[in-house]
Amino acid sequence: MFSLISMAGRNLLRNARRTGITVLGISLGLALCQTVYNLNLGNYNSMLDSGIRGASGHVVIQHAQWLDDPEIEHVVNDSTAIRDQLKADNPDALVTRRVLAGGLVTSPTNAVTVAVMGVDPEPEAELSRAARNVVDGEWLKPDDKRGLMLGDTLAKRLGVGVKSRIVVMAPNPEDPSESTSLLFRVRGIFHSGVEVLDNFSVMVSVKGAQPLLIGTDPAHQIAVIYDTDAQTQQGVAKAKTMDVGEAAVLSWKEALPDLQAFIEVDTRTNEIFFMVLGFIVVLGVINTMLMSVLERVREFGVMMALGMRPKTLAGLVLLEGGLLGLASALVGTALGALFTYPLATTGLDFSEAMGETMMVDGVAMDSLMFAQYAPDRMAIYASAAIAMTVLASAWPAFRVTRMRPIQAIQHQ
Amino acid sequence: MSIVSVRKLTRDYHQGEHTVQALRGVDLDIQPGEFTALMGPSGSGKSTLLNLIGGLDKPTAGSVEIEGANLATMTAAERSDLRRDRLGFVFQAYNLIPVLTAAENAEFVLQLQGKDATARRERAFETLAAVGLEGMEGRRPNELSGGQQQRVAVARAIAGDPALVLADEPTANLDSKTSDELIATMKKLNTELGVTFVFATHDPKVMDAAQRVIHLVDGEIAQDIRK
Repeated sequence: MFSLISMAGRNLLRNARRTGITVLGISLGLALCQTVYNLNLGNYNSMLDSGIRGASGHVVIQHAQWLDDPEIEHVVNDSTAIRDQLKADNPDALVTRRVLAGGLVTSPTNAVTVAVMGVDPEPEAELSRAARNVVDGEWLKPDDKRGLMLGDTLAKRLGVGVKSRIVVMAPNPEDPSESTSLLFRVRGIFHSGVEVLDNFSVMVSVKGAQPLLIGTDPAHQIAVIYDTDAQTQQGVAKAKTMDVGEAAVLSWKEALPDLQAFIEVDTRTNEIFFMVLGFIVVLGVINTMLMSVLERVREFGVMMALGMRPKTLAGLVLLEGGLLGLASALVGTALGALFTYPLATTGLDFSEAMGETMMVDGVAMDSLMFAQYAPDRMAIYASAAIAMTVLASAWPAFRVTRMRPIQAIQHQ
Repeated sequence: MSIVSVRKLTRDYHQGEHTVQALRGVDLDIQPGEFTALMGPSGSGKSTLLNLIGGLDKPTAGSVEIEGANLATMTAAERSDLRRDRLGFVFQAYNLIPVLTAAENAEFVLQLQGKDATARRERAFETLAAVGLEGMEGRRPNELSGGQQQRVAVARAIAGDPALVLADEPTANLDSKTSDELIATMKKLNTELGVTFVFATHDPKVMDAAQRVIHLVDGEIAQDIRK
């Protein structure tokens, strides 16, 4: 017993080497696209995670002008009340405040201009790369108003260690022509691997940094970080309805427009690459199918003489293309998974070229990049490979419908 | 009613500025159950006439009717369906489908006719047995001799229970013994099952077996002999 499908399969196996090479070509192209996508997805998610945890939040409340003009006076007042309301609304999420100021830190031996970052120690312990990488001493306690964390490189430059005293000098918020000095004690030293953090930043509690600002319980950002996409969607919608006076409630997409744009541009660039690759593969398939059809003109003539309609013959050619695509999709997806596995488990190490981290649009990225397998996207790519192969068979199939039985039978 | 009715059939071929008249106003009727041989030298128009009767080619002028249906008024799809349901073909070069077994080749037309799998298989085995190929149903064409392949082609031609089988030089590629066997097989199908055959042939043995011999010369019927 036979059917058109089995006939199509047998036709493909007539020239097993040619079919094998074609399947291999499509499969490798598909596997390459899938692997590149998975690696990029891992990178994008890592970048977003770093950006959301370190530079914004899934929801961030900040001064309306902060995004375009992050000046020290652009604060949100009553930050504790807003934070507490956000906590009450999002009991499962992390809520944290941030203050970002500039200053001069001085030790008995040196003075360095740094960024002074005020944070809520408790949530930031889970969010901050610095908090996760304390190499000496300990992270800030929740009510520690005079504690200070700094990077190992900065500590070396200042010649300080844990328990050392450090003075932070900054413009007086009431009168910028005057300066104000705050005394801190080093609680811990971290090594984040991010040069700007390790060498040019100190971290104190929000309470410790607030004297550098003007306002009532001021902070620059109050951020909410969720665990899931569903929580994020609900949280963003709810936060947008909050009354926060003149402050702005932004989603992470609004708060990190450059990062979002970078990812979109990079994604589009990759899609163009995938399309070019697909086009090359399609040309190869057209050539294979056309050769396969031209070799069988006489046979097609006989089939037409026996009563097979040209449309059915064209269907047979399309079916052959479909089977070729299906085999390629299966092999390609298996290869894609095989290529992705080590990238998802061991990762791809760019540390020799980039150091421990690299900055992408102000977001610190690990130089050890991990791929993230996306089954739904793999299925889409595999389906696209099948569709492209069938599409590539359309021209040879059309040629078949143009054949006249007598000319086809007499074809040499 | 005639199975085939040909009237004033003309077929011209254009070769550059020259026109070759392969058929010149041929009139012909084929009755059910006939075993007819179209004889004549190369270029006399035998194959052209066979192709026109089979609806594989279009005439320059004149008409071909199969069981009263005029091929000229049919669409390509309708001609396909007519070939599928009412005509069988045997070609000089066997022309079996190489990826199908003998049984699958025989049931190819039945598949196109939409017969169910069991009926197809039964009929394929029955026709292969009728041409003396019992036990070879599972063999692919490349596992059969030329004579066996041509028998499969005959089985395929009669499997769909056609009104007429058109055979173009079916013995041309066969040795004498195999040729004799094939002619005997077709003759048996003609006498026992009533299958109507029209051959285009140079083979005098086919001419000997035929009830009716039509001689074509330069695209015209020179002689029409009924035995």
